[in-house]
Amino acid sequence: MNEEKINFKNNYKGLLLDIEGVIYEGNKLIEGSIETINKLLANGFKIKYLTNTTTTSRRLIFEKLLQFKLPLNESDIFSPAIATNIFLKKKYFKNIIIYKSIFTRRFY
Amino acid sequence: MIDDIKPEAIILGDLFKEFNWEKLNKVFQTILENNALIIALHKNRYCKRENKLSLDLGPFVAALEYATSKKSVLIGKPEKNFFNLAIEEMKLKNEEVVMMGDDIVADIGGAKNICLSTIQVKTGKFQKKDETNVYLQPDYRINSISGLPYILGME
Repeated sequence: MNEEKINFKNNYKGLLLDIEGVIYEGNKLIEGSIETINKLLANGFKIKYLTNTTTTSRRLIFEKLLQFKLPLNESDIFSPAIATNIFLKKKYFKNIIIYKSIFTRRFY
Repeated sequence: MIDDIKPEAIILGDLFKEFNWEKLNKVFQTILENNALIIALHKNRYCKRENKLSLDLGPFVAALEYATSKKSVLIGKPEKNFFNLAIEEMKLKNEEVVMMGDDIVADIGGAKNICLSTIQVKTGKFQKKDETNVYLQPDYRINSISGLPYILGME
């Protein structure tokens, strides 16, 4: 563990970036977020925004990040609901019906 | 709503303040009656809400697992699958990817499980005791996201 530069050999091409607590806290953007993300994008980095949030949909997360003026697409956000969808298609069931139950009304 | 269906699987998301005995009990009964698979969107113990560490989805998943003697299929961080699926979508290899987060277990532990380089920020859920965690340490720890370009050699 140290605070030196990563031995950067141009081998990193992507960043998985946690959202809450890293980019913003509560309703406040953490200083330097936009500049950092822009710098990474300018260096050719792919960024995937990872969240464990299940209380809001990807669209709402996207809209919140847009309000902060972050440069991203909705598809850059990856959540457990999105992963579940991929997972169910891949592994378990051929047909997926999402019932609008208490658990799924804000599912996607 | 779930009375009239016979689910093969129950997907558990976080209900925050809407969790209550009636709902949990209904889900418990549905799982038992249908021998349904429990899929949990994650099993995080706690998170920061209204500025305080608060119960997350995990404790409720654990309660249902305990009551039904079943183990759930977990989806979100820190599960390997979650990180792997995200990297797959980026069309990159694991060694080309860095994970940065504030949560020592979900973000750092999860990413380390699939051998990603890891960076922890000292914002959000970061706690002082993370720095002395004997089992789990990130490759790098920085004050906040604004220190990332330097760490990556971009400035």
